[in-house]
Amino acid sequence: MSDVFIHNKNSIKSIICYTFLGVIPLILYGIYKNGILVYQKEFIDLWEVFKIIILILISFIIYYLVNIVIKRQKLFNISLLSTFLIPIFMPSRVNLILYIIGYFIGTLIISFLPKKIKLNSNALLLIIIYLLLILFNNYSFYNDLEKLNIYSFSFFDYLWGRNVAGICASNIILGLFILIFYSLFNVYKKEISVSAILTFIFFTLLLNNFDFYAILNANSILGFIFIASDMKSSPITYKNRVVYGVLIGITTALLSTFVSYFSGVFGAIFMWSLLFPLLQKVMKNAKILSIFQRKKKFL
Amino acid sequence: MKEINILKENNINIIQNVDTFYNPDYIFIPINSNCSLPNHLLKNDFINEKKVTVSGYVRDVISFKENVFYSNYVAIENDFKELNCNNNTKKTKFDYNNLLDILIKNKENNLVNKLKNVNKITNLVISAINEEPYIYNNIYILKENINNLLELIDNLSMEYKAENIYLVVKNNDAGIINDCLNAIGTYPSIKLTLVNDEYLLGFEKFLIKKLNINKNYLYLNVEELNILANYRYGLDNSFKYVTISGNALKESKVIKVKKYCILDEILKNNFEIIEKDYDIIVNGLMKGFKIIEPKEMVISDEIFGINVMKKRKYREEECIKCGKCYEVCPYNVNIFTKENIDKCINCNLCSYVCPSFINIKKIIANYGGKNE
Repeated sequence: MSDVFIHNKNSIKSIICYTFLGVIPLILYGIYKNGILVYQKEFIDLWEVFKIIILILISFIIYYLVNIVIKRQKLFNISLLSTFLIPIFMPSRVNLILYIIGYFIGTLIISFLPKKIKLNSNALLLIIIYLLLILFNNYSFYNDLEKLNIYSFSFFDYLWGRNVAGICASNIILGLFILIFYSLFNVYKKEISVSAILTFIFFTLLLNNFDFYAILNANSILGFIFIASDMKSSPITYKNRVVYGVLIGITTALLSTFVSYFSGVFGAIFMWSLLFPLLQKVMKNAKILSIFQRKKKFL
Repeated sequence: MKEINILKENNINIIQNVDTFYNPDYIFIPINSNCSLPNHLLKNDFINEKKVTVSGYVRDVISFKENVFYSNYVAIENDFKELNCNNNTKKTKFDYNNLLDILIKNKENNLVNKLKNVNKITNLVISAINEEPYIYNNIYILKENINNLLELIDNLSMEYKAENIYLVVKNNDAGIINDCLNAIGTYPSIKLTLVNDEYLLGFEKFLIKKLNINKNYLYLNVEELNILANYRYGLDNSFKYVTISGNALKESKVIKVKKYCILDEILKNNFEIIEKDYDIIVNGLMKGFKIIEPKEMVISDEIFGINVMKKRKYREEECIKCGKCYEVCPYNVNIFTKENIDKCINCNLCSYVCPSFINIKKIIANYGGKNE
């Protein structure tokens, strides 16, 4: 028991609740876009309309089995966030068996990783599931309607979610509203998301000859908002958060342009969550070195 | 400066009048173990540089574990005669040097140092703000002794030739001194300054910064000023104002008690505890400590508040590295890199905001900071 006698409203439970509250509009939009619209054209069965709910339930069961039964942690652990953040970035036609296998393996790996290794567990989990999907040739973010390629949308329509992206991660404007909502909450590292989004837009425009359609990468933008701002793996200080966001933004622009349009963002987040502590150490040593050299000169 | 409002429960309200507890059966004076003692002591006698606050018979030397400030006490049974070894006479004319002499004679070393260390000041700052939430001693002392205190402030400002005199009150507490506004109005040189209800303004350094004052100042809180006023007017200094508040009490009050009496006696005589499961926290919810046995808690000079709160369990969880502790810290102490750890002022804001309910002051203490 802690010797804290008074406390503000922040708690891990409230963080989880706020995060979930923010995700609800995206889930509803995902059900509409990748469920109802596709179902109306009779491409999918009725249960598939609610695929996102099924994915969340599967994730929760696996989370419960691994964290509560095996690791005996509390239910409201911060890693509970992954149960509803991971499914929103899944392709709408994701194979449920592959998802279960991928999520289970990923959760097991993350739970038994040594505490010293700080990495963005959500990004790692997404990469593992995507790799599994690629391996079994099931990796496509297009839903059945989008595959027909018969619709023409304006820039604004794309911003409003007619974009190709994860099952609930296509609506950039909703994402930005959620970013504002989260920023009002006390515990959210908004500096990372904002700096990453701005850098990503700038560098993507540079790399794509100022083609504005190139910045409509909803997976990346929402990835910055939900995955990059992960608390455990991101820096503490304001300055470092901005630098971290900028680095993720640049790397995402490069990876999504040249390597993988949909999953580049998670590669970038995962990479910098691993490398940033090392970079900080190097910078610190360099600082010490420069002070030492200055002193030497003075002597 | 980072402005932090401490979240307060609406149901903890202090009743408007100060209660009293003047007749304890026993008082317990902190002593060194090798101290020789007479059979009978008079009020204002000194034991181990502490003034006896009642006259009575020396009974025993007792060891209490609850009070972290002292361990050994001499028990004095009150004879209820209030036999005084000093004959305090009411003084009408202010004499600064005489006041200093009285302070030295009465071993008020902290006050003597504070007053002697300044020669000429531009600003005189009197703070009626308490550091801790739910503690209201200063504002109620001001309310109870307004005329004496205002006169003394005026005397001191003349002595020091202070140009600005600030009487600082939290705007939330301004209602408490509503009746005193006329009295304050009779001293036009005293500026009643209202500040927001921010936690750190109870600390001298932060209040001075907030008021944009340069180095030329004398800072006194109302409690210190009241001690000075008691000496200046020849009043009894054997009392202490203590706030006893909390959501486990029927009524929260500021109470004027005999120094060195036992908390348990005060609680039994003046308060009704309405909860079965409660915690007693001494000296504030932010920086205080929990006690189990109020029978062993002596109201010594260091004690200013007691909070009797419904038992609430904060289960400490694993750190999620949200960085809130670093963000709120007024000195940017970073517990992850141990940066600025020596600058910690023990304000405990870090633990207050931590969503994992981690007792960060303990961690800082382990790292060798000032916290304990």
